[in-house]
Amino acid sequence: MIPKKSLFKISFNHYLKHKIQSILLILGISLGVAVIVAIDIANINARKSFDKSLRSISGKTTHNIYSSTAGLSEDLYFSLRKILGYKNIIPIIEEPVYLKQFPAQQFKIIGIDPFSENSLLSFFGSHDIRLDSRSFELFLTEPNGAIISDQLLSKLDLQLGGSFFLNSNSTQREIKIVGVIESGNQDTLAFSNKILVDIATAQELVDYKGRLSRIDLNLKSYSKDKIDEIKNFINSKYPESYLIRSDAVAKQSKKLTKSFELNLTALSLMTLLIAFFLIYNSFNYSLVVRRPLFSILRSIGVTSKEIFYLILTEALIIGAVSSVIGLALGIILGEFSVRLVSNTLSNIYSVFGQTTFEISPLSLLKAVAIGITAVFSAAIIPSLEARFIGPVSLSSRSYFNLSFMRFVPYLFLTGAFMVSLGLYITVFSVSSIQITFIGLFFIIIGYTLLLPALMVILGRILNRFARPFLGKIYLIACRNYTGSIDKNYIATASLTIAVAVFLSMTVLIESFRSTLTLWLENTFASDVFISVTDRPSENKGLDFSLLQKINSIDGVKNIGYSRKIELITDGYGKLNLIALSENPPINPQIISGLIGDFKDLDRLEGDTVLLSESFNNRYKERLKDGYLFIPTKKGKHRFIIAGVFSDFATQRGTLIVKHDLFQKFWDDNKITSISLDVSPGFEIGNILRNIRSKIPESYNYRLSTNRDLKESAHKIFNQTFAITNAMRIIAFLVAFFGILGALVALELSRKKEIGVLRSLGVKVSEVKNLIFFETGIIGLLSGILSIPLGLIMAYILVNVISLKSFGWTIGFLIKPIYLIEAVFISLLAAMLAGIYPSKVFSKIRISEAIREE
Amino acid sequence: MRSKIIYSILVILVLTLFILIILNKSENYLQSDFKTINISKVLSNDIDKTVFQRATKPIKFYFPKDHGSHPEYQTEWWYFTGNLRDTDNNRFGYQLTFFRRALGSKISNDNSAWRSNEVYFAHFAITDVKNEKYYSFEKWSRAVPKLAGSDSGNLGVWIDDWRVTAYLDKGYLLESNSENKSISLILKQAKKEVLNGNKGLSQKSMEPGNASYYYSITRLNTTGKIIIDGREYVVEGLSWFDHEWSTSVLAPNQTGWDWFSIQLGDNTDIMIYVLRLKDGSVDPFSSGTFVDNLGNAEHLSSSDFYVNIKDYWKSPKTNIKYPSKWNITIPKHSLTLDVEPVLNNQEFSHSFTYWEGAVRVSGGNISGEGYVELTGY
Repeated sequence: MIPKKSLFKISFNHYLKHKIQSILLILGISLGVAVIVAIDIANINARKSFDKSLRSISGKTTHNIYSSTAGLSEDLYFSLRKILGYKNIIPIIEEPVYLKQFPAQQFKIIGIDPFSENSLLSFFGSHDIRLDSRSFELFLTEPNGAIISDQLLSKLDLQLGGSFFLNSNSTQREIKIVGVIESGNQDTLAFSNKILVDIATAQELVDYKGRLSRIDLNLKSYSKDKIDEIKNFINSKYPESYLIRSDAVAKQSKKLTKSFELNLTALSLMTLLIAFFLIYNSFNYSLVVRRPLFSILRSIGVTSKEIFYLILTEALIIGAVSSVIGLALGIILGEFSVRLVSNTLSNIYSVFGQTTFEISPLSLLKAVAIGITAVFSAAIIPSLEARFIGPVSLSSRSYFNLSFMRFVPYLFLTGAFMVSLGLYITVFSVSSIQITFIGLFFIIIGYTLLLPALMVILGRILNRFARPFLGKIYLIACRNYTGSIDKNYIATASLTIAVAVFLSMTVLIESFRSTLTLWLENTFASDVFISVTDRPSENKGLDFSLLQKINSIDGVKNIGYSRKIELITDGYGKLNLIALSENPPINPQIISGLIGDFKDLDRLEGDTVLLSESFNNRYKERLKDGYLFIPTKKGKHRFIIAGVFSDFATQRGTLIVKHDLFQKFWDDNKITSISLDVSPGFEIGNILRNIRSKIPESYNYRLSTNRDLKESAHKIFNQTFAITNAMRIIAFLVAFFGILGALVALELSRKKEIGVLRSLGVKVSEVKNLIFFETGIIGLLSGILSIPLGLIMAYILVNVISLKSFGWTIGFLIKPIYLIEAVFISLLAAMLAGIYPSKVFSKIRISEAIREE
Repeated sequence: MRSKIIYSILVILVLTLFILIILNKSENYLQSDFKTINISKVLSNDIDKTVFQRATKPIKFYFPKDHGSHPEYQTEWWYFTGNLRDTDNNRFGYQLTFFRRALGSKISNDNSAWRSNEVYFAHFAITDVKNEKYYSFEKWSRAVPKLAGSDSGNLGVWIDDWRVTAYLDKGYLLESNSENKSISLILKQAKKEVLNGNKGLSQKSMEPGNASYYYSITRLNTTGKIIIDGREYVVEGLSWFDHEWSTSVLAPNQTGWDWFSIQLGDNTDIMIYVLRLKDGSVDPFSSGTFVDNLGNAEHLSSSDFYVNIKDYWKSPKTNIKYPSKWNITIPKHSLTLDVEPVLNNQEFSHSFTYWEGAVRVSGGNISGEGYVELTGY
C-alpha cells in the first residue's frame, strides 16, 4: 500500500520537473478564465452605460412626458401637478454640457426640485449626499451651486467649495461645488458624469427658462381611464408634448444592449473554446507523458481507483489555482476591455460609457467554475483511461493509436451530422440570434470531430506526394503523422480551430471595412463639411444666418444642410431624426422601398420618411404596413415609409425627412451640419480659412474636408473593431501556446525514438531539422484544414450574425491572401513551437535517451 | 496527511482571495438606506444678522396689513388651531400652521420662475376624539407663487392646496387636504387682534433682538366641514390664530417651550408660554396674555402664573416623555385651571417633533377648551 502522501509527491514531482509545461498549463487555464472575466466586466459596463438615466426620485417613475420640440412648457407641469393632487409628479431638466478638461466624455446637467416629492428631501436621503445646511441653502439660491460625485471631485482635483468651468450653449459658466455624493451606492456610477443642480439653476445654466426637459410621473395607482384623461389633457393643451411609459423606452434600449452583450459573450465563449483545447492539450499531455509512470504504479499495487482520484485531485488543484490567477489577469484585462467597449458604445450606440467598472462576485464565481470545469473535462477521459486500462497496455504506445483509429469513422459521422445540423440552423432557417450562435458552435465542434478522418486523408496524400522529393528521414516524419493520429489530434484540432477563428475574424473585419469604405464614398460626396460636434456637446446648433454668409464666399457651390434631433418614443425607444435640404450633406444609400434615390422623395405624395436599415430590421413586423407614427409639434403624426437606407453610423434608429417637411412638423430653426463643394480653380485651403473666419469663435464645431471625414470614420472603425482585432491576436496567441505545449510534450515523449535515431548515426542538425519538419507538417495540415471551417464561420458571421445582431447588410469579401495568411500563421506557430524541443534534443545524450526505466 | 494540509491551505487561500475581491470591488446589491436629513438642523441655527431685521423695539401694528408676510424677518408663522364639534357633539381638534423661512442669500434678478430664497412648510393635523385618532401631515415647498407663498397686504398663505385666504372683512377661509383627510372652515373674528409681550414685542431672552413680533386673534367663530376618509362632518366651534415673525433663536441655555392657549366659557382667553431652561427651571422671560370678555388684553409676566405638571405621557413612536396634565394658576385673576389633553397621542412627528394637541380645561365653575404646544423634548 502506497500512502497517498507519496502518491501526491510522485505526481507533483512531474510538474516540478517539467516547469515549462506546468507553466504553460497554468497559463492556458488562466488565459481562458481571464477572457471570460474581462468580457463579463465589459458586459456589465455596457449594461450600466446603456442605463444612462438617473434613478428618479424614489425610483418609482412609471411614465414620462417629453416634447417633440426642445423642452416642454413648465406650465404643463404646474397644471398637471394640480390635476394629480400635488403628488407623483416631478420636473426634470437633463441636458448635455461640455467640460474642456475631459473633451471625450459626455457630462450632463441635471436640474431637480428637491421639494417636489412628498417626503422632503427623499431624493437627498435616498442617495448618499454630503450636504449641510449652508450647502442646501446655496444649492437653492446660488446661480451656479451644484452637487457632484466624489469621483468627479477627485478627477477635477477640487474640494467642496471649489469651482470649475463648463460650456453650455457655447457659453462658459462657472460652477461652484456645494455638495458631494459619496460612492459606494449603486447609483454613484450613474452620477459620475452628472452635475446636479436646483431646477432654477438648471433653467438658467442651459437656457431653459420656462421649460423643462421632461416630467417624470408615478402613475402606478392610476386606472387606465385616469391615465387616458391625462393623455387627453396633454394632447389638447400641449400637443407638442406626449406621455409615454418609461419601461417602454427602457425596453427598446434593452434590445440594443442585449444584441451587443450577446456578441461579446459569444466572442468570449469562442475564446473559451480555444482555451479549452489549450487546457485539454496541456493537461492531457502531462498525463500522457506520465503513462509509463502510472503503469509502474499500477504494477506495484496502486489501485486504479486511487490513480483516478489522484488525477482528478490534481485537476481540481490546478484548476483552482489557475482560475484564481485567471481572475486577477481578467480584472486587469477588464480595464482594457472596458475602454475598448466604451469606444464601441459611443461610436455605434451613441452612448457615452462609464470608464469605471465594477465586478460582480457572481461573474467571478462563474469564470472560476468554467475554468475548473474545463480542467475537469480535460482530466476525465485520461483518468478514466488510467482507471480501466491494464498496466501493460499503459506502457504500449501503439495500443492507443489503434484503439483511437477504431473510433475515427464514428467520429466522422457524428461530426458530419453536427455540421449539417449547425449549417441548417444558422444559414437555412430563420431563428433567433441565440439559436444561431448555438448552431455556430455545433459547426465548430462537429468539424473538430471530422478532423481525424481528414487528417488521415491529408496525411496519406502527403505521404504519396512527398516520397519522390524527400530523404528517408523526412519520410519517417510523414509516416509518423499518420501513425500517431491520436497524439496529433488534439494539437491539430486546437491549432485548426484557432486559425479558423483567426481567418473568420479577418474576413469579418475586411468585409466590413470594404463595405464601409464604399458606403462612405457614396454617402458623403461633398468636398467640405461643417458640423456641430454632436458627440459630447453643449451646442444646440448653427444659425441659419451662417448659411448665407458661407454661401457668399467665392468658390462655394452646392451648399446644403441638415438638422439632427433626438426623439424619445415608447414604441421605438430613442430615435435620431435627420432633416435634409437639397444638396444634402448626407446622400442616403437607399437599398429598398418606393424610391431609388433621395431626390425622388419629391415625386411621392404625402408625408414621407426614410428609415435606417438596422431600425427597419429591428421592427420589421410593426413596420410592414408601410407607415409609422412619430411625435411632432402637432401631436403624433403618420408618416409613410418611402424607403430603407444603409446606415453604419449608429445602431440607434434613424429617420430621414426632407427639411421642408421637418419645418412643418417640428419647431426647430437650427442647423446641425452644412456641406458644400469647391468650384474648380479654387484652392481648398483658402476656402476653409474663409469659412473659419465667418463662424464665431464660441461655436464648438468641426470643419473637415471629405478626406478628413473618411479618415476619421476609418479611425472610428478601427476603434470599434479593436475588440475583434484583440480576439484575433488572442486566437493566435492561444494557437501558439496550445501548439507549443502539445508539440513540446509530443516531441519530448519521443525521447527514446530520437535516441535510437541518434545511435544509428543521425546527426544533431538532422534531428533538429526532423523535428522542425514534423511540427511543420502539423502546422501546414492544420492550416489547410482550418480554411473550410474558417470560411464557413466567416460566412455565418458576416451574413447571418451581423444581420441579426445589428441589422446591417455587409458584403462578404474573401481574398486569397487571407487564406494564405491563415496557413502561414499556422505554419509559423507550429515551427516556433518546434524550437524548444529541437534545442532540448540537441543537448541530450544518446545513452540517456535510450535507457529503459 | 501532508497532502491534505496542502489541499486545505490551497482551498483557504482561494477563498480568502475571493473574499478580498468581493469586499474590494463587488457591486453593492443592497438598497441604500433612506436617510432623511434632519431638516431642523438644515434650516435652523444660522441667522444672518446682517441680512435680516431683528425685533428690537416695539412697532405700530396695522391690520389687515400686518396679517401679511414680513420678508425682512427671517422666520414667520401663521398658526391656526381650533376645537370643533359636529351635530352629534363629536369632538374634533385641528391645527394648520404655515411657516416661512428665508434663506438669507441674496438672489439675483434672474428670470427662472423657480428661483427663490425662501422656503415654506406647513403642518396640518386633525384630532378625532371619538375615534381616538390623530392625523398629521407636512408639506414643503420653495417660495414661488405657483407652488407656495403669502400675501403681503392681508392674510393669505398657501402651499399647493393648503391655504388660508382672507374672506370678507375679518373672515378667513381655511382649506387643507391630504390623504383623504381635509378641512374647509370659515373663521370669523370674535375679538380684535391682541398684541402679546410688550405691545407686540415678545422678548425671548436677554440678548436684544432675540425677540419676535407676536400678536394673536384669540377667538374666532368657526364653521365648516371636516372630511375623514369620505365621511363628512359638519362642524362648528372656536379657533385661535397666532402670527409671529422674527429673526432670532433660542438662547443657549433654553431647551424649548410649553405654550398654552385657553378659551373659557365666560368669554375670556388666556395665552401662556413657559420657556424651559436646560437646568429644568423656568426662564423669567416666560410670559402670557390675559384677554377679558371685552377683548382687553393684559400682559402676564412669569411671576403672574404658575404651571404645575400633573402627569406625563410617553410616546410609543419616539419614546419621548411629554407632560400631559397641568394645573395652571393665575392668582391675579383667581384662576385655577386643570388642563388635560383630549387625546394623549397628539404628537406631531415629521421633519421635527413636537406635541400639539387639543385640551379640555376646567376649574371650579368654569370650563373651556384650548390647545397646548410642547417643544424641545
